[in-house]
Amino acid sequence: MVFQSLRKRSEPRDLFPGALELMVLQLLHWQPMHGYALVQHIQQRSNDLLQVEEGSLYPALQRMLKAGLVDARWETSATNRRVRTYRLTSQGRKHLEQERLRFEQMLQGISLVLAPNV
Amino acid sequence: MPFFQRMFRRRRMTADLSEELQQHLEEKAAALEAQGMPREEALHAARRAFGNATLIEQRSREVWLWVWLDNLLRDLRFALRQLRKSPGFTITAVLVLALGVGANTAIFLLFQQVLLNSLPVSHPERLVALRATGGFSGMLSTYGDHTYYFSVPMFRHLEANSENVFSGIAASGPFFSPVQIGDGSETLQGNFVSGDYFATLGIRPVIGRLIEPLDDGAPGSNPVVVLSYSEWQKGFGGSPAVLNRTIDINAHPFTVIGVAPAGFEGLNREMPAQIFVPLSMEPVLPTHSTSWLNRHDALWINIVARLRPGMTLKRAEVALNPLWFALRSEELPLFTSHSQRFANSFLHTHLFVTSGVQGLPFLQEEYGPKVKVLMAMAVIVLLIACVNLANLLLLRGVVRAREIGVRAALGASRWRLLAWVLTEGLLLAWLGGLAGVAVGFLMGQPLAAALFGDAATSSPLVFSQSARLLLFGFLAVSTTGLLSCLPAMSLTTRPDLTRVLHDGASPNARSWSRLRLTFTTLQIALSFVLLVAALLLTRTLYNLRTTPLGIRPDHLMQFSTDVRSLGGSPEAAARWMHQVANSIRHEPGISSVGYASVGILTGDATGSDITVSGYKPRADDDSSPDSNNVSSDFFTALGIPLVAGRVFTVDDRAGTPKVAVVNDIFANHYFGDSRKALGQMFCFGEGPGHVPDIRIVGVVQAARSIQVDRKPNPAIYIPFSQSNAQRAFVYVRTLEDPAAVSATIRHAVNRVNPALPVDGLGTMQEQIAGDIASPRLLALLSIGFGLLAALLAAVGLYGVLSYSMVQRTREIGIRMALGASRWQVVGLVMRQVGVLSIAAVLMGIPASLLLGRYLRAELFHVGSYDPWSLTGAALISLGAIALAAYIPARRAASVDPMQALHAE
Repeated sequence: MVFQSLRKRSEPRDLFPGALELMVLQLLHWQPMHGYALVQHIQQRSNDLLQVEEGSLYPALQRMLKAGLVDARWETSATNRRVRTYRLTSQGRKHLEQERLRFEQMLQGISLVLAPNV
Repeated sequence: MPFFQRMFRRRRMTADLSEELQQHLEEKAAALEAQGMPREEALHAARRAFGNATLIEQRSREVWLWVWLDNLLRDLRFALRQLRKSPGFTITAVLVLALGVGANTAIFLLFQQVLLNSLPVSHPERLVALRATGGFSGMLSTYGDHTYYFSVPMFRHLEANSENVFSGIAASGPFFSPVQIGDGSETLQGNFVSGDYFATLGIRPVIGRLIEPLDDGAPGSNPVVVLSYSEWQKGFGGSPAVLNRTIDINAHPFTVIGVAPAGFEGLNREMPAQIFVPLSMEPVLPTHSTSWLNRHDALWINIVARLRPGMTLKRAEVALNPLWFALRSEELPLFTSHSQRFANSFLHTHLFVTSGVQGLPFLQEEYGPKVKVLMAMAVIVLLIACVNLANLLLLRGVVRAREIGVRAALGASRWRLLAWVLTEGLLLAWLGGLAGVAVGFLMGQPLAAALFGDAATSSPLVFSQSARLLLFGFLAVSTTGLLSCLPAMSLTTRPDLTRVLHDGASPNARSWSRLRLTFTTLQIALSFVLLVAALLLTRTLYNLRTTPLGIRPDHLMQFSTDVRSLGGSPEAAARWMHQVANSIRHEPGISSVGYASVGILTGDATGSDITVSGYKPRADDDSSPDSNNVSSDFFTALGIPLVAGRVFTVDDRAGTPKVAVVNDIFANHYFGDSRKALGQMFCFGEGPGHVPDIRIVGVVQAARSIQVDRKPNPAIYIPFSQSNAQRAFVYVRTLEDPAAVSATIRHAVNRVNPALPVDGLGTMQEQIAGDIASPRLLALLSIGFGLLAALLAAVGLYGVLSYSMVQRTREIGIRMALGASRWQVVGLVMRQVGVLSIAAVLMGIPASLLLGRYLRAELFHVGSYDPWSLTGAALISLGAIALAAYIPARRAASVDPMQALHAE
């Protein structure tokens, strides 16, 4: 695709590729929510360690929508606001399991390498 | 998601996304507000935390594959809206391009027809045409401007010895003959073809069979004929019953054996053949006074061949030339040469093997240079149009620098800006191109007809490759569009945002305006070059029109007839012609009637070697005078004045002493003076055994008899009745309007014998106009191109000057406030224009001198460095410049200093 290179260059990347996606999938696995709520949850649960540029969430959401990992529908929130709520699809659940596994393996690997010499 | 569903949902998805983002911002702002932040501040903070909303929305949308298409459609819609909003700009740009592209498309049609089209034969790329150089003495057949390089014995020799080079070799020669189909008689163009002709070309019959080697056997023994497809349709309604029918060619019965495929009408595209007969039938259809079938000294056929696999043009040439030299050495003793010089030039010879893809190279030789000249002109016009469009787009880009700046500041990526500018440029280019191709198509066919005559347009293969044309038009237009966008594109790649947004102008406006002035100068220089070419060609046309011909073309009708169809001896032919002339002469309104065996100003000529008693040719003298067989009234009818002696009388006929009239060039060449020529003897042919037996009884003034632009040669006129000519061109001098007597003439000929054809009846003026038709067309087209170029350049200059005047309003205001007079302000404009014009002419003069040299072959009595044309072009250019500069200059002079200074 033509835009690929341009997009890659300026895409704000978190931690490592796929981390944001993984977190979003996990959050949605616990409960469906809308974009703003996702941002809030990520910040709260990470004790404000992870500061995301809020907007950067949306391209990721669109990617997941397109891949069929989540679906979205308009709902009215508890605060009586029209919000677009995302929920995990079965495909998304499978994807989450795989990604979690991979993430844990990677984390294990990294911590082994970083572990002090015995 | 299925493709269509996704396309369908795209619009809704976009709306969803926008709303979602909006909601996000509001929710965030509401949350901040709840913490006690003022509303305004909360909104700002929400936006900061969110990032660039436009960009994020765009990125999110881009996740969906079709976003580029979406963008494109959006750009397209936007560009269309923009173009609709400034109709002046749009119409100017489209018109400029339509003219440029239209001219090119039309000329490309010609170009393709002459230079790119290939023959409708199998594997035309393996076909080659042969031609030869070297001195020659004997009879040359010329039809129009075409040269025939070979005799039949030469062909037979090459045929027998070239097996390792060619897989097939074939010869063809043209003839004209009256053909009796049913009740009507018509003169048709035919081709004599060797037995392998159709096999070599790889052509299959539509019905029946084609000529085969067995048909090309003993002379005169195989009267078979193959019809062209169009003749089959026209003469026989395409009926298969035509096979085995008999048609009379030159009063000789021929059996129809087959029909050639549609589009194949011989190898010479300018003279499409309707009938094909075996070469061996030449003695039955003598095109010349005797059969040339076995003559070494008669060149009247051309050769095509098919290369063996692995052979190239070069290798074939290398392999053939020793063979060719041996043949020439063998033939030399057959020519009773009179000079060592002749022997040298006869043996100093080269056989060329050239590509035969486009047929014999006649059409290319004749028209190739003309079409190339036109093509060059058309490309220059396109270049000017392209520069013009670039200038317009640049101007637009500069004016919209602020808009571009705002878009960039709002987060539009560089690529999006580029795409935006490109879309507009290409959209304009394609609109212009579409109009241009339409114009080109409309103009192309009449152009081809005007340049080549009906021959070019009658055959179906022509204009069949419009796909190629469309591709050409598309490429030309797209290139123009892209090139025109380049300067404007560079505006988008380095927008200096703060300055653009502050001042509302491009930071480097000055350098852009300099670029535009350079473009304008270039346009004027190019148009100057075209104007010089146009004037050179116009002067050529004028010279061709006014050059003294040596005949009086007014009040003169002409037609040709052929008495062969009546059968009978040469004496009978002379009697028939005498009767025809008498019959016409006795009609009212006719002052005299003459006839000749070779038509005047038809491009045809017959040259022959002669022996003159008491004249020893110098070593370097190898002139062979033109000869013609004419009636006694020929000179009166054409208005050729007698210089000395007498013209023919009725007593100069078969059986009485042979006499001749010569022209003064002949008399001067051989005898030094017209008077001295009277009573001298000569004969045709050279060498021992040739005893002069023809007495010169008169000398006439020389006339341009072959072509308007060819100087007269030494010429001999023999009484028609002492020749064996059977075809005659009749010249009728009238008292009143010559065209009014057409019916009279037809009637008078019909009274003598209804079977006599009256071909090509028309006035001499028409004949001459036809002769100079292609120089005229060239001149007219070049004038058109020149004026078009001048107009485009003027429009360009006008645009640039008006814009720069608007930009300089403040400066002019200050100058005037400080005491500058209106004239000084006008001087300001004029100085700019003056520098520009001088630069343009300085660039244009060397370029036009180069062009002049390139044009030399097309010029007649005009030097390629013609000061008149240069001056004329300079004057026209200056006029156009002055006109273009006048309005902006006046506007500048009428600036009110107070208003100009206030406006800022």
